[in-house]
Amino acid sequence: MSRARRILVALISLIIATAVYLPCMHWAFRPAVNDLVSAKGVAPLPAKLARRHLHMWTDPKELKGELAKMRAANAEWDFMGRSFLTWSLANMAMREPAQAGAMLAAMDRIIDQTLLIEREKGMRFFLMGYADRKPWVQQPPRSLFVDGEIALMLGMRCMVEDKTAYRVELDRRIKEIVKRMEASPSLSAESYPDECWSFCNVTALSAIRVSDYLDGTDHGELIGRWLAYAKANLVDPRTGMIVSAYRLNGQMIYPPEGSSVWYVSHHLALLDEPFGREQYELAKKHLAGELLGFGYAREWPEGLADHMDVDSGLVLPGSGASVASTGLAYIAAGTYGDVEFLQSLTTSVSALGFGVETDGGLRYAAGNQVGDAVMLYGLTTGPVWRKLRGRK
Amino acid sequence: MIENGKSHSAVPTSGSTGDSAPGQAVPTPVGRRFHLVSPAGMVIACCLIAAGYGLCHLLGLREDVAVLFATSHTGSTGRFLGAAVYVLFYLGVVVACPILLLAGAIFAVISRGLCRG
Repeated sequence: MSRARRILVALISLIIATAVYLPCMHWAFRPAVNDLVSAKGVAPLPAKLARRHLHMWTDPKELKGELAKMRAANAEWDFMGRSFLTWSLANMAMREPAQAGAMLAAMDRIIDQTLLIEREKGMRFFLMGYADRKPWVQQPPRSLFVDGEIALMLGMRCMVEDKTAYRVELDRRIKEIVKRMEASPSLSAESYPDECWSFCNVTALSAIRVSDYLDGTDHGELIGRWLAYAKANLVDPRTGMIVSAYRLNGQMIYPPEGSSVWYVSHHLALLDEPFGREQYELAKKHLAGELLGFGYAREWPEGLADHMDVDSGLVLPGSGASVASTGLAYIAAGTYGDVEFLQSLTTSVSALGFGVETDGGLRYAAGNQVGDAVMLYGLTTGPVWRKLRGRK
Repeated sequence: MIENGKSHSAVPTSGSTGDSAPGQAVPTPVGRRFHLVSPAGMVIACCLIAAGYGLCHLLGLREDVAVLFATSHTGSTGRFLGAAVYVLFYLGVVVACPILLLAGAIFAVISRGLCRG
């Protein structure tokens, strides 16, 4: 065969092989539904992720190394990794009551250490540097990012098994949160100076709902007013999705973003289910994508792209797929039982997450601890929200 | 061997011929010459990619890929480059290798068909 003909045959062969292989490639990475979700217990994949986290929180050296890696990029990740893991463990304890003892011990270790750090180093330890660049509107400064997530950690832990010391701390924090929300023109409190985040405010509202469940109090009226305000003032007219951040007076700072709206829809499932489902459907319409069977989520709707930042993580050119949005999409998909989307997202994570299995545990080298904890929460969420809704 | 559309050789297997100017008589080789553009070449390319990936893996470069995804910060150019090389070889193994193997098989089938024709 002449060289020219050989090259031609090779090219034809490569084109045929590519056309055959690429559409089939995702099958090599696509997980079985049973590996991801389980109606009652904990499915194998989240069980592996949890095992690694539980091991990490009993190994000070590994924990220090992992937290240091994240803190070098973003101090918030250190804090959020704790929150998402604690919330996951609460859901897992309800899914597998026989394992509740181990889960409670781990939750207490995380909560105690977090409260200790907050006491000794202050809330700024968990915030980004710009927390001090301008004055906070509400005085004395408090971040709803920190207060809301800690309150939800304490509340979910007490829903699994009551603990007086945590209930006292929860009560104190909820009173502070409610006071600040009531005093704000937008019914929202600051996470950073004159910066309210939908992400943090819905977390705080869920913590209030948990506190109501535990104490028999009722803040339904405040929650209702917040939701009414959000529907009237915080919805982006172009997409219908809730904006990410706004001033204390309600003026928008950041438009809807994947790193926010998926997570917000998760909390709305507890606070206002129809509104939450609507947000989820809109997020799927504007942000979800799939390429050759590999699912992903964009940080911004098509045509409204912004600049890549610490919240979005890496944004792939072309598809606009964002690491953060794709991770947080897990939580929304898990909340609304969208198993097909979970499978599609996990296909991508299996292919490009660079999983590392050790001692029966699993972590993804492409991500970090907070990323793994977010995925774990998405694959275990459900029981706490169901319990709360049952009481509603 | 096919030259100007006609077969002149008793050993017409793909990858068995030398390069020759059109119209020039080609001596039958004693041993088969290796061509990169051939089924065997594709299999060898695949093996090289797999070996490169294995080496990167043994060097522990997988641990650094977080740098590329902006989920960790190491501040080291060397680690960034190591992670980039690792990801390239990984993509080579999961994307390029199966395509090369499949293409090699298709190439062999087409070549055989052409030679018979």
